[in-house]
Amino acid sequence: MKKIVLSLAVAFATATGFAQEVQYTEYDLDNGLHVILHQENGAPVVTTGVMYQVGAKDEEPGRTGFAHFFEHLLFEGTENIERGKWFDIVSANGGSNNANTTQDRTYYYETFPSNNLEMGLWMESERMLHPKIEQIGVDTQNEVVKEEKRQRIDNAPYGAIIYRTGIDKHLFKSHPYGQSVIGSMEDLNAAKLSEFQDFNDKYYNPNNAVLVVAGDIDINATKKMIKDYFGPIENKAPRNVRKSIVEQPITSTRFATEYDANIQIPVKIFSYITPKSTDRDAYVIDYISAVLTGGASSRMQKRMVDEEQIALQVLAFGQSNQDYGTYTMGALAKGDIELSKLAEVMDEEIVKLQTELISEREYQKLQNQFEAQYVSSNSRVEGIAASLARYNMLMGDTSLINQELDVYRGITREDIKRVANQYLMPNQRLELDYLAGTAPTEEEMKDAMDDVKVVDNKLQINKIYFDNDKAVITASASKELDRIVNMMNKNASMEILAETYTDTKGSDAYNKTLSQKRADAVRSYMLAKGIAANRIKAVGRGEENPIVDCESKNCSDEELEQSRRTEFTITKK
Amino acid sequence: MKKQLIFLMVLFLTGATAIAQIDRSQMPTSGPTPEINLGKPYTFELKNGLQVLVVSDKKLPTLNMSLDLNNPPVFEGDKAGVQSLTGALIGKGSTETSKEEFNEKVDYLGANIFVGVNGGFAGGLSKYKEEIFQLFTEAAFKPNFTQKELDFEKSQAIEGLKSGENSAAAIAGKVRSALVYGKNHPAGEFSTEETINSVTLEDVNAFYTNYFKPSNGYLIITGDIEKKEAKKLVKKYFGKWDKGMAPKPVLPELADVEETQINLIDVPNAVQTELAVMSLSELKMSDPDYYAVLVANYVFGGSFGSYLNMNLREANGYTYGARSNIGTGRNYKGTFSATAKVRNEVTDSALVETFKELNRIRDEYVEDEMLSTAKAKFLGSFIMQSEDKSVVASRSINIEKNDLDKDFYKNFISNIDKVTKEDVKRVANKYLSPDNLRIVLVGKAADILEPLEKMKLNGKTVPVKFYDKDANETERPSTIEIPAGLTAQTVVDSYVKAIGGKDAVAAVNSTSYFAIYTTPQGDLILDMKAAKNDKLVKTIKMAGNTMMRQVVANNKASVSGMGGSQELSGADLELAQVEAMFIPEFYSADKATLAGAEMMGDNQVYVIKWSDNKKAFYDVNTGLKVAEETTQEAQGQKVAVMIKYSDYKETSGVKFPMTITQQMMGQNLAFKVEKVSVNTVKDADFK
Repeated sequence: MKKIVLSLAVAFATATGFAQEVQYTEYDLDNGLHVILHQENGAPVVTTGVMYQVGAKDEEPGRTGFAHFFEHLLFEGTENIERGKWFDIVSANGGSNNANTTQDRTYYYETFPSNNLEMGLWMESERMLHPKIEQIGVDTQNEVVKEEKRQRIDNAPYGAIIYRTGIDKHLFKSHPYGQSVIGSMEDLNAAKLSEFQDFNDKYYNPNNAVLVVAGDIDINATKKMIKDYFGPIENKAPRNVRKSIVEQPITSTRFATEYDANIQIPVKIFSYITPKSTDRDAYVIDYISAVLTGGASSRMQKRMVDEEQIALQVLAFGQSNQDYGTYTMGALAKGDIELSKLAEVMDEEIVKLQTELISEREYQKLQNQFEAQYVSSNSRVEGIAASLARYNMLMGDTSLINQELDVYRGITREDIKRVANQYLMPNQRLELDYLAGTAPTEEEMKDAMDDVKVVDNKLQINKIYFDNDKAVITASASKELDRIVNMMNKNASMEILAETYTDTKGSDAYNKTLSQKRADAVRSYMLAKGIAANRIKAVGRGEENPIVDCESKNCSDEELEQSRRTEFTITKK
Repeated sequence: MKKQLIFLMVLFLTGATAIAQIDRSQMPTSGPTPEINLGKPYTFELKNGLQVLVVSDKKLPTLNMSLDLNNPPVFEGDKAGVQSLTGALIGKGSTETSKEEFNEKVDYLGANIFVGVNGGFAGGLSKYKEEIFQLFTEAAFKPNFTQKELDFEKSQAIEGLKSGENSAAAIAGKVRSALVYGKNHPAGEFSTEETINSVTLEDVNAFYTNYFKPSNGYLIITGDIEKKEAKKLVKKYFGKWDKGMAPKPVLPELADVEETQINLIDVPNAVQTELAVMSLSELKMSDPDYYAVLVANYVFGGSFGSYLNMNLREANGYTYGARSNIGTGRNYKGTFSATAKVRNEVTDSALVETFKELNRIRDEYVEDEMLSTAKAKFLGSFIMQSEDKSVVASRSINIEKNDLDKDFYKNFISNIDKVTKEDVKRVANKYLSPDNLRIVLVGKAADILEPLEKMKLNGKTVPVKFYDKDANETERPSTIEIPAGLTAQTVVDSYVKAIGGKDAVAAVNSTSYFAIYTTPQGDLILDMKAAKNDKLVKTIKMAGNTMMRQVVANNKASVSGMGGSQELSGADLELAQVEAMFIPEFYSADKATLAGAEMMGDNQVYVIKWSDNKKAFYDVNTGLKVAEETTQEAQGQKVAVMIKYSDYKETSGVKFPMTITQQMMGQNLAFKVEKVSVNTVKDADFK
């Protein structure tokens, strides 16, 4: 129960075609709660759902997994619903219920026979008004969530692909989309009860939520009940205003390896950062995905699985979120086929999209496929309810439920080619080898790291960069310094000289001082790791010997960064 | 003045709402139960016996059809996989249309078409209904079985098997039914690389010819279509299908285990145990008990608020979810199962709690509130199922397939309502016996096995049997992790160190033991002398008579006893020589291989293999040798003989065991060592 929304689900969730427009009315209560009603009296079923504008991306640093964990907590009970009785009440009234959390939002819902509409409204208003957030619930759900993680990810074949825990961290370096929704167990263990209570006060307010009721209802009677149950709920904080976090585009191919002990067959994955869900190009990506893997006649399926038989299975899925989307494609190797071969063929298929228009027949196929998907996507009120809330909250326009098909229809063959060129270049992607087995142990990694090469007494390590104007050892720098410490521990008599340079921005004197500070930071780091003080000398060189000459031309940030570096020379072996 | 009036009006209005305000401390009450009138499907039968049910529903411009051939179960045996391979080949084009072209046609319509050995389904926009009928029947009736496609599907199937080899869930799915039904039953068998490879094109053709028959089958058509048009299309496309029925198999008898037992499958990479408590279920949908069993299962483990889930998930946090199911049988018995994925450390606790809840539903009456919740849930689900209009068709098929009363669904809710708490208790006792359960655990033995061996369910320890990933019985897996870098040399070195160190051991050229085991018939004496170069003489005496004397020296060995003397040769000689190895940890360390680690009693031991028929066991903590095991062939059977060593005491700077426990004549005889001496043995002793 209560799940993280599976990201495999294709991005274009719902909206009917021309003939079956989804009718709805929407309005705001005085407290800011946005209400959407959809009346459909064909079957005596009604869904009540509340979507809150809070998701994993709103988590504080060091508290990954918090939003999803909190979702679990909100089933524990309220002032008027005894702890542990939530599910009993739903069942005792013949209903079913669930909730799920994504990066962008959290959604709760109940589906009841329509004579229990009021029950659904009462329960959701109880949850919004005064949930009980207590230590006992935190303790129990902590264990439950750990099991959920084990079940969905750690013990599940390809779990880190399906739930993206093995992908997103390589794509997003500054945006929280890089962290998984389920988060880290250490972070959850560290969370205190008061933090959960604060989280509730901050985000679970009417002004930050959309209430949707869909199904066998009477609009006026429903409006009255909504006013009764939700009208008096006061806001404890202003609406959640999110500051936009910019993720720098990927400009050179990222390579990564992930291991999965639950699998036998490795996968080659390409993954790209794509536009946010409201961007028209996000819809084009859906088309591209369908061309490559939608159906038995799709290009990758036909070529890789049927004809060349190099893949057991191919996969592709787009996910468009509020800030960015991702597009992931991949193939499971068949037999002894090398992952590099799969990569080669996938790349060829992308190049084809970038250089040739898809055929008219393929284009018509896409149009038909998307129409068919649309028409059948609104067959249940439960699905319609979730879609209405999503279009309103995450895409800012409820009417998209009836208009999205037109957006798809408007995409041209040229759009497909253009978007393939704009977003799917090799230097914009992550190339992931997803392998069977377990990751090398720390010791094995250490051994691999130990081999610091020495050329002309200079240590050949990855460059140690400093952030602009800072003299702080970054995480990547500390990894490199650890290698040197390791080497010096092995060679007890070795002594080294660390020379630190700055870029040419700023005054000479300032840079000289800055570089000395940085050199000292390097030295103190190594002393802290147990290297004797007499074995390392640290000198700040200021602007001397820049890697790129930025006096005679205007340097890019990257070029400037190259000059901010530290070099290590062995002075005694 | 005006202002004031408005102010007053506002006051009045707010006052009015305040009065009308709901009392949220009271749970709202339900309105009257909504009526559902699903009507009846339009039904007719084709001459070939195919039953057709049409449900017209114009909510969406779509059309769905599903064909259920209602085939009996098929035992595939050494051709296991023929069914799924045939299924994989049907629906991939036809003798008239290539696979590539066929797939493209289906995708072009935005349709879904699947044909398998038991029927199939098709769905798409209703504007393409004729095309959907045409493509579905073309694929179903004119399959194109070629060697090339068969080879391809075989390779896919074999890779598919491989893909699940390390997944605890995939393994659990396979072995649970294999263990409960047996691999000689259609429900228990599974395909392997070998059986898949044995399937030929003739097998596939024969399977299709024998099993793709209409006369038992049902075809359901739902969606945006008129009855008349549906009938016309069905006659046009299914009318020429020749009648016929699939053959019925003779199925093996099924029986539960005699006593509750654990079947453990070791999956070392698992971070959760796939736990299942299972037995066969005699229940049929047509049984009068059916409704009470549904409710009993709901209470026990069929819902979030059930005993099982509330205990394992909500009270203990052992799992993300625990559920049970009591299946019904049609062609063969169904199963009762309670399942959960639990973290390794709590596997035993989760079982204990599961049994607690089993006892609870058998011994105690369900609370009235829980009973009415369960009933309400069945009512609610029943109502909500009506959102899918095709349910009326699947229900009428269910009635026929399961020999149900024609008003089964009409009376379903009233029958559920009639269930009493006495009924629930009665059927729980009838269908949920704690004494004949098979507990199938797929997980990491190193973490879960030892607690399980100590665990008690209803006061009894539970026998544990071990199976591999293909449900073959196997040996107890090692439960101790061997530290990285540990080798056989490490183990023998620490033994040498433990008994006195290299120098002390090097000074030992020979040893002599004199040990006694006291029996009512008199003392049994073990006299054992050993020396460098692997010499050994072992004598067992009873009441002054030599029962047995074994001498090993100079590449020869002989055994003498009451019945005379015999020179050993071949395997017997080899075994005798292995037994005679003198302090092998010091002199023959190169022959040692590390065979693993395991529990011996309460202690962890490393296992060193000295030869194919001799193993020795060294305590992980003390380093001392605690036992040796030799394996002998006797009358074609392998017999393992264990000698245990304990009570180490020092003599001449080296520690020797003061108790030697030997298996003899089916008994453990603990010889007390009366005397050990070092370097007192003479060459003449080995004559």
